[in-house]
Amino acid sequence: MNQQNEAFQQSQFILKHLRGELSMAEKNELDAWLGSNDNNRILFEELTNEVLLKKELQFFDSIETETAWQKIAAQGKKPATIVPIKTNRRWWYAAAAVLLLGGFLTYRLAFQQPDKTPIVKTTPEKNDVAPGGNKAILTLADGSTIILDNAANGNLAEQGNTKVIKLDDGQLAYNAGGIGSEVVYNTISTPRGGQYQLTLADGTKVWLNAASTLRFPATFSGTERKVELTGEGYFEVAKNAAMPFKIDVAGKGEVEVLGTHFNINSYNNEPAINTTLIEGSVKVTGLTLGKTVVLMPGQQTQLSGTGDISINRNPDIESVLAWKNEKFVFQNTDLKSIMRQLERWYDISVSYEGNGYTDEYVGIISRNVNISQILKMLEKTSEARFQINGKNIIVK
Amino acid sequence: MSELPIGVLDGKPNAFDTRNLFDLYYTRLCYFAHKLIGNKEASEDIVQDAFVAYWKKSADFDNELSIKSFLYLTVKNACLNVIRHEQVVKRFAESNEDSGYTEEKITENIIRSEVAGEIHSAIATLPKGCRQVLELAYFGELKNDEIAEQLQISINTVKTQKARALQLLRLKLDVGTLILVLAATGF
Repeated sequence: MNQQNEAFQQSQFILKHLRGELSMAEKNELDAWLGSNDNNRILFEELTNEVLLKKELQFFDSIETETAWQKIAAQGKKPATIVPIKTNRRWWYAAAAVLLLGGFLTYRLAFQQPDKTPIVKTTPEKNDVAPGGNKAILTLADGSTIILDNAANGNLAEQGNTKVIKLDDGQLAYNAGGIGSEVVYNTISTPRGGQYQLTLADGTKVWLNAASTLRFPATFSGTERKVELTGEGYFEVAKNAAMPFKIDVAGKGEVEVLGTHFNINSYNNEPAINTTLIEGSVKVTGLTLGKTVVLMPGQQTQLSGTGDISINRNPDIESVLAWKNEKFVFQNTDLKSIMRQLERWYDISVSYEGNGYTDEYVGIISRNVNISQILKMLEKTSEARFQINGKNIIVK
Repeated sequence: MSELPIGVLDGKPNAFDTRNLFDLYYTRLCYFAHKLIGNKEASEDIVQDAFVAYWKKSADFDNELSIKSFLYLTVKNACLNVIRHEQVVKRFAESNEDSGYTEEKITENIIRSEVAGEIHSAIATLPKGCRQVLELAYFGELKNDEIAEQLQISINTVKTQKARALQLLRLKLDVGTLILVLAATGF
């Protein structure tokens, strides 16, 4: 997938070249790519050679699309039963082969198809921990608090001219009623084992993962939209070029955007603050050293504790957004990283009897199952053994 | 290519609608698969499977990049399976196992598919009249009078439509390659 994103990017550059739309920066990137490898140069020449290109385009026209669509539509409309498994298995075999070649110790977790139907709680383990849910506490400007998981739907409060509304699906929305006179701040905090989605007064959508906090104005005014995040959040920022959206990340970094989709992970027990851009453009500044990086879609910045910023050009987007899609996605993820994610979602504490635990795991698991199911899968495929004592998990 | 009828919509926002994604990516994925396994029919089957797989789990995706990645990855893996286990095509069977299928080769073919696919889409989204004339001239390599006869229009209309197509394509593709291509085919 990572090399794929790179390929998509180069394709865009070549097309922009053909349309004469390359910016200087993009031209430099394309030139660097062309110069890095003879094969790249040959490929580029093929794609810009009229005779060769024409032959390729004829292939496209020889494909009968309508019959193909009928076949797909006929199968796509059937209830999901057989089809996905075949493809997924192929994926896992290929992934496993690649990892084994790479010399990794790889385990294949039993694949669980994410399921829309509610999880039936079968024969609960004596000692088990239920997954997290939509839980959060909202703190209003006057310091009063509302526990959102119990609050009834409808109007919760008025903050200046803005109505705070809890929607039927458990989300929170801020409906601006006009120009705000003074800026009042609200804070929403999710506990461990909680997550929450809200829509800010400017239309920006925020998904907040467990153990995270967002401080934001009830109404936006002035020349910028400024919020503060700790923990992890996924943002779909409403476009407003006149009022840039700025996120202060745990006091260590600043992410400035015009209108875009991205994920920020800034948990203080993770090695770095990772900002992953899905769409649009963002500027990330490390406040310690004042270093700044502008991200392209599909890229990730890693802001380390020392204030250094590096760019990961090929982050695994599926893993980054897994939490928002109600899944855990492990791609060569070591046991301790997995356990940190479980701690946040199941509100548990993990301790280790031994040392090491460097085994890496590959797999996808729903976030909506009890913890025992996840631990069982991990046990099935590795030497690790787990003991559940209430909210404490011991790794043996 | 004929005018695409309105397909069965599966109720998702436009960009994620399976039909829209199909229109955008089906032919270029077929081309990609064909580059890897060299068998057109098998390529089409693989790509159709990939779309069905996507459709079944479409709720899991929330941006087009991840969908595109999923489709390419699914097609790639299915092709590698074909190559490894069936060795369907002689010219690949002759080489040592997967030696021709380095990630680099695959990346190259993704770029080929994306670039050629975009150019093809630019042509496919031209107004119908222009497109018919252009396709007959360009892909069918027919002369103006042959086009006029086939479409039951005057030679002058053929010329006008060609000029219009050229103008519209410029907006999307500018003068670069395509104009050269058209010039080369006596456009």
